[in-house]
Amino acid sequence: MIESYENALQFAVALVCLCVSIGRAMRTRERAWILLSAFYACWTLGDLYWEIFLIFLHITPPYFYVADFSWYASYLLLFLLLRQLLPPEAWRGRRLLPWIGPVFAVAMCAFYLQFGDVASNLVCMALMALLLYHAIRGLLFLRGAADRRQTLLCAAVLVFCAMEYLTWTVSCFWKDDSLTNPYYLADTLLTLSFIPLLPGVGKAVRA
Amino acid sequence: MSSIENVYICLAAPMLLALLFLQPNWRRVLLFVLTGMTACLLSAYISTFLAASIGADLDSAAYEIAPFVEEIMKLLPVLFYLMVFEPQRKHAIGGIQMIAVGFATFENACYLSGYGAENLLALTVRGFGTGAMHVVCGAFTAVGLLFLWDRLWLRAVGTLCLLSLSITFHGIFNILVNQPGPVSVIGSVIPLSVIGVYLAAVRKKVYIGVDP
Repeated sequence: MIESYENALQFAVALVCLCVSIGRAMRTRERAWILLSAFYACWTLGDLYWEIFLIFLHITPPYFYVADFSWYASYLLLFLLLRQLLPPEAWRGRRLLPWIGPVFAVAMCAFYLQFGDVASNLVCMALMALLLYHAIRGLLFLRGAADRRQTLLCAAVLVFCAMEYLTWTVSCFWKDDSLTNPYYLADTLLTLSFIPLLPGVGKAVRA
Repeated sequence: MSSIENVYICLAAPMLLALLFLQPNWRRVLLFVLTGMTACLLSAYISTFLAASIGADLDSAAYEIAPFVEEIMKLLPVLFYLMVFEPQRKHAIGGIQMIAVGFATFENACYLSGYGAENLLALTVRGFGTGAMHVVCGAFTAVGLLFLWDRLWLRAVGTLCLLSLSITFHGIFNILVNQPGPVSVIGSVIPLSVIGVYLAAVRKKVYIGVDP
């Protein structure tokens, strides 16, 4: 029951963010806003599919993870957003530090493999590694750049990734459907991490 | 019980004959519709095979397997058309939509042959709902393929993302329309509303037009 309320909250926040983002996309006709709208749309539809499946069939999807596929696509859209908004110079040259992201993703994947299935964990690892690498690389580039207005976006993406990992990790240890389960707090924090992406893109688009 | 191959042959035969006589522009439109119908027939085969191979029941196949298979099968002829013929954008958009229309038409025909044609109101709702859903899903993919990205790798990744959007939208539609009572009507109205909002946006010229 609490899971349903929590899913509904996440759906509502993502929907509001989607409406704001679509409004900005229509007004500015910027590709970045369209990408962010697609990110929120993927997340919202994934939540809706999951919730509808639970309501009408009283189980979680047993075979193919349509909702998961939608959430994976939203990670890819965040990656496209970073590629779109950061200047091409951000990706040039070799840097060692951003590889912390992929190394962390691989280590966490090895841990999660004890609890979940192989395919979805590997896909998550690959996508999170991509996202973390690009967000860290963007932050490092912007530290030495004259124009730093994309910093908020990179930081927002990192916070989103951190909240995802927190949610996944907590869900490995606590399974009960009560308010004391820290999973619900972690998932609420994940929901709140959608919001900074809006000012992040807003600032970066003006850059 | 009805065999969908028989339905397919009955519907496709006059179209195939017409292809011999029509002018190129008309022929192209008809060919797209026929391609959509063929994609639907193949989707049914593949979905049935996948459902049997993992032991899924009819509901799970409709809610989880069919959206994946149908959206991918609808995308494949579009990709072939774009890559081989490199059409102008306006032709490509029309082609994508006609494939979706052919797909929806054949799906509705199969539904009629399987469940009968007695209830006009329910069939009207379902007919418009299915048609709208396939057109909306086709439109999602078309936006990704034609408008949003200039570089090939970005287009590939972006199209994959919008394909997932179509699959999830399709999955939600399938769950809702298979429920009894007003939920089924709500499920059919959702894609119609999306088309309504789009048309209103076009009329007010607030639609998103991104330069390539």
